[in-house]
Amino acid sequence: MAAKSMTIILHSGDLDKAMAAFILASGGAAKGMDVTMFFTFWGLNVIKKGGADRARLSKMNMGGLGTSMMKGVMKKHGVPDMNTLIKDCDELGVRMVGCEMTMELMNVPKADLVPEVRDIGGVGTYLDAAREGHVNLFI
Amino acid sequence: MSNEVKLSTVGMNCPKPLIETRKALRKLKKGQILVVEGNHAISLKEIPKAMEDTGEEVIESKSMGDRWIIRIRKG
Repeated sequence: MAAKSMTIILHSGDLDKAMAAFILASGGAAKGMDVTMFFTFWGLNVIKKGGADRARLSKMNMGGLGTSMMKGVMKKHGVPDMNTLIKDCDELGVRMVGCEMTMELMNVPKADLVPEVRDIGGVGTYLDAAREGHVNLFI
Repeated sequence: MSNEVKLSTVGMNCPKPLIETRKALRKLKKGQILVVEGNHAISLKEIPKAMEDTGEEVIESKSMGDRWIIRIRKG
């Protein structure tokens, strides 16, 4: 059986990088992989309630204009938005873990995170998944 | 006839055709058939491979101009 496991650390809160993370996670799960996502530092922002809508492009944001244009182009081409991908990841069984230390530093209670994030953990939680992982990514 | 379920992914882009195929398949019983239609070119290669990864049977995959059809039996 080809199914293997993947972990992704999302450290970035940029729209383009977070999109890549959720596309990989949902794609991996759709291919039968066990997928764990770990959200730390700026990556935690995208799993705050409303956070996926607030994410901006890492380049050519142009005061928000670039991000708006990119979202429009994505929609036109049938690329799902980040909120949709988060729901898809959850439905396909992707395990989403918020970084406990970042939450403490940034004073983010679990109630501020989207409900699809069911776990809170630290470096040990991530590494326990990563050492079983065949694909481990830091974004 | 109730053994066959249809799914359209026409107009969807990466990674949606694969995601929606998997979501639809998870709702079926073993042996039931999912017929996926789409126009995202790469998915015609990638969906059959993803189905093999999890032990489903790809009965048919064919291109018809700008559309394709993939017929999958749930394993």
